[in-house]
Parts: sequence; C-alpha cells; structure tokens
Amino acid sequence: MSHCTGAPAEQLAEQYVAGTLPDSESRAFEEHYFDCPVCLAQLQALEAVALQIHRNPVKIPGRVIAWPAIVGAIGAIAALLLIAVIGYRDFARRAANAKNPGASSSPVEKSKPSSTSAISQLADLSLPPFEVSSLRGEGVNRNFSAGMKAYASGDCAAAVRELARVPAGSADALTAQLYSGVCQMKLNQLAAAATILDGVVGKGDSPQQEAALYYRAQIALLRSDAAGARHNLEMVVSLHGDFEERARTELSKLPADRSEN
Amino acid sequence: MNSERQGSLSQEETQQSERMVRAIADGDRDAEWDFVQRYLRPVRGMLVARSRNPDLAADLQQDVMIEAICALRRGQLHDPAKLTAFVLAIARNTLNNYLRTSSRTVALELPDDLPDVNSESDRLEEQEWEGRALKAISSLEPLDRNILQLTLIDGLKPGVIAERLHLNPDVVRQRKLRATRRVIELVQGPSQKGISSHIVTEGAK
Repeated sequence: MSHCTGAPAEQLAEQYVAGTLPDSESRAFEEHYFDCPVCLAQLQALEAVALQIHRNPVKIPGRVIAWPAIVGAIGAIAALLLIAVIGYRDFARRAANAKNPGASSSPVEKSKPSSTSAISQLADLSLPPFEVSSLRGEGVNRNFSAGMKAYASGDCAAAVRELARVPAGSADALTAQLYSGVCQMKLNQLAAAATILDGVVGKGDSPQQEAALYYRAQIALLRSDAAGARHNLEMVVSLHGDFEERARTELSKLPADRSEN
Repeated sequence: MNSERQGSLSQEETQQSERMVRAIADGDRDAEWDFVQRYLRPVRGMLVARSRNPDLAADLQQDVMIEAICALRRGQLHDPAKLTAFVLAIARNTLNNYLRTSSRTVALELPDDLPDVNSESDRLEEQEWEGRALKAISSLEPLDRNILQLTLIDGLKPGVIAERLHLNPDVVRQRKLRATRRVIELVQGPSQKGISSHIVTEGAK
C-alpha cells in the first residue's frame, strides 16, 4: 500500500505536464508515479485538463482587468495629448532639418525587449518554404510526398502524421524530421518539436542542420529562454547559410546576456 | 520527494512484481492481463506528458506494452524487483526512437495471443475524463483559465504570466494553485474526492 500523500505530484506535475521540468527531475517523478496511484491520478487529471485547454484555447488579452469607464476616458485623453505632443515635435524636427539639411538626424535605435514576455514575441513562426514540385520522381517515399503536400498546403497536423511514417533509414528521413519538428512547433507542441529538432541537429553536418538550429532557437524564444535562443542563433550565424541574416537580426533584438529567471 | 518515494513500493508489492514476472515467463496469460492493468495508465501518462500528443501516446502505448510483454515472455528481466524501471526504460526508448526518427518501430512478427491493451472500457473512461476536464475548465473564472493556459500549454512561469497579464506575481501564484487544485478535484470526480482533498490538505501544510 502506498504511503504517498500526493505531494510529489502537487509539486511537480504542473511543470511536468507543461514540459518545463528538467529531465533529471522528470525521470525521478516518473519512477515515483509509476508505482504511486495517488500521484498518477493527479497527473492524469492535470493532463486531461491540459488537453482540453489545448483543444479549447482562449484568446489571452494583454490586460484582463476591466477598467472603469472613467479610467478609459482619462486614458483616451492622455493618448490624444501624447499624439499631439509627438506630432508637434516631429513637425518641429522636420522644420529644423529643412532649415539645416546637413545635420544628421538621430540614429534609430533598435528596440530591445527588456522583459522575458517580450522575448517570446521575437519568435519567427513562419514556416520554411517547400516546393512540392521539388520532390524527386519515382524514388520519393509515398508518405514523405503526402506529408510535404500537406505541409505546403499549411496542414501541419496532417503533415506530422504522414511524415511520421517515413522510414528511419530512407533518404528523406532527415528532411521529414526537420519539417515534422517545424510543424510540431507551429502546433505549439514545443517539447516534442524541440526533441525532434535536437535529433536533426545531433546528426551533425547536414543540409537540414542550419534550419533545425534556427527553429530550435525560435522554440527557445517562445519559451522566453533568451540564453538558449542566443546559443542556437550564434550557431546559425557561424554556419553562414540562408538563415544567417535572420539569425543576426534576432540576436540584435535579444536583451544583453544576463542570467535568466 | 525521497521520503515519499521510500514508502511508495512496499515489500508486498515488490513480491507481487516478482510473482508477476515469473508467471508471465511461465506463460500465464492472466498475469499478462494483470501487467497491462498495472502499467498501462502510467505508461500512457508518461507518453502524453512527454509527447504532448494524446493520439501519438495511444499508438505508442500499445508498442510499449507489446514490447514489454514479449520481453517478459522471453525471460529478459533478470531482476523482477526492477519491473517498473524496466517498463519505464522501454517506454522512454520507444518514445525517443519515435521522436528521433519520426516513425514507429513496429515488431515484424507479433504474437497473436497478446492481451488487448486498448479495451472499450478504457476508451469510455478516457472520454469521461475528457468530459469532466472540459466542465472543469469551463467552471473557472476567465482569469484563472488564462493563467492555467499560459502555465500548462505555454510553459510560462508565474513571473512572466504576471507581466503579460499586468498582475502581481503572488496573485498569479495563488490563483494558479487554487485553480489547479479545483480542476484536479473536479476531474478526479467523487470516487477520488477523498484522495484529492487529502492531497490539498497535505499540500497546504
């Protein structure tokens, strides 16, 4: 009979379900709940909740507290005043430039996010292009072909299903893995996406390595993991490939290197 | 968690595991059914958590159970006390192989007398859980639902959520804790209510 009161699940299940619990702790928790019905029941309940939230997501506003009407009115007036001041200053600056065209205008500073939530907004979620016509002729795997057609039409769920059936040893396996990882990212399955893309990166020098590193960085950004994003983006830059410029742009927008939350 | 773990598997349960392993190796089909009953849920829980894909988890749980039973029939587990570690290792390998290769490893020759790991009653029970989970999240205040979504789906920490929702981090932590306990209690239903309320009491200490 188990003597557990459910405290391990109380402490760890939430992070475990969210995929943010470190691997060593995940393993220890698994060894526990495999033999503990109390913690297993809590975990299953939380997984069921996470599944329903995932299936029925709500749009999360930037501010959820309803402001009283008076505050809203004051805000509107303040906004109008601000626009007027900015407009006046812009007008004055243009006028000054017109009088003194040799004077250089102040350099435009790239805005760097100061908060971790802003970091996630840097993530590039655009899918890398793939031309269906570029599929080879008779030698191409049937599932790979179907998967990439689904991918090209934007149906990530179908793409993941088909690409999962591409045999591991086939010529298209690594490409299938890359696009499967990108699709998982698009579907917000970040833990699975990270593992798949890590697998591509782990294969070493390959045509898919750079893209895998770039999208691995995007996953880190989505998780507000600036250090992880920087690490992967720097590796992308070092490869000097198609993603170099985008990686440099994102690096320039990341906040200065400091310890994470 | 260590002090909790020490009591999680009693000597009696260890002996049960040993009997089960020996019985499966001796060809006892009832023991295989007992094995499925004992490990199917934790295996599924692990696969769902790590893949975040219930459909994939449903497929892979079959692969895990089949591989485990076939290995036990062949007598490959030499220390029956390590049955749980053995099943966990198979589950992790199966999932990692899938994630590495994006393809399932299906045994070429499946024995035709394996127990059914996807019974109709399990499916019905799962649907029941899903229904209760949907009711549970529907019963939450919008703010609490937002906090749970940002926590469980986006994996954000209370500090980040607080910043995004313009709230105090302590408020987020409190609301998250209360909402999590509430939904777990609602999903577990009346049969588990005793356990759940006990957990809340312990956790609040």
